[in-house]
Amino acid sequence: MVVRREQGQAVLEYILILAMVVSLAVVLAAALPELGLGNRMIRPVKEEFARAYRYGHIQAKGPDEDDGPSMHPRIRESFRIFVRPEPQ
Amino acid sequence: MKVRRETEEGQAVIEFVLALVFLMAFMAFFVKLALMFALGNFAQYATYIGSRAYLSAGKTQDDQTQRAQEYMTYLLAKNPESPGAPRFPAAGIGQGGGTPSGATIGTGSFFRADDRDFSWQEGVRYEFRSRLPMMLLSDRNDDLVTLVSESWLGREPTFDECWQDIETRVGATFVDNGC
Repeated sequence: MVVRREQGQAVLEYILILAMVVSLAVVLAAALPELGLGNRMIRPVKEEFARAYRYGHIQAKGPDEDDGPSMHPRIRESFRIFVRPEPQ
Repeated sequence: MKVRRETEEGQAVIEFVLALVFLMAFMAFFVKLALMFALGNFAQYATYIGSRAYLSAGKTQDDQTQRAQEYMTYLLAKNPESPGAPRFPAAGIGQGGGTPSGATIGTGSFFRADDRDFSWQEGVRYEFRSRLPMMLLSDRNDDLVTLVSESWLGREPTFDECWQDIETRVGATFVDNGC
């Protein structure tokens, strides 16, 4: 007796859809660095957090930076112990 | 007769593995971020301790610097014999030269002895770099985060400096060591 099953069709369709999904993922993965999404996600850590860690405030700048010093806690021209910056 | 059971567990396993890749990447980012924050706290403590050791008077300025180096090496290097090797390489690695690697002991880059605005920049600075895994979202060089910990407590005059100062003040009466 020959038993005919139809699960082969489901497997084939699953593989085809999986191939499409994986292809889409690969294309997206290749395009993501171009979009700069990672940079946008990591920027708060690289800039705001790094400044807060070094100077105590996210907008502070040292004398060795462009437009610095600004909001630096130990330089008189921009002395701001209790800093409350305007939103930028 | 052997009965073979048909199940659909395979599909779930494949999808779980695919999802796990993204989940692990997500987890790895936050685990590394937590490690970097922990090292950041520890580095702040180390720079403070190093700066405090540098602050205290000694025979010469080299004594003060050496004292700070010993504390910084003890806290941030793998061991005193290899001060260039970081103690917590998974969390971050010191950048630049110095002993230990990444540490600068003495005056900062914009120190000016004759300007009150900049004469305070004397102490210990530690710069380290961590890599936050962004997987496919960014280029490999874009996921480096550089953090700088600074502790500028200043420096007391050395005994030699005090002695030189005393020698210039003939006939004066001094309290303590003259500084």
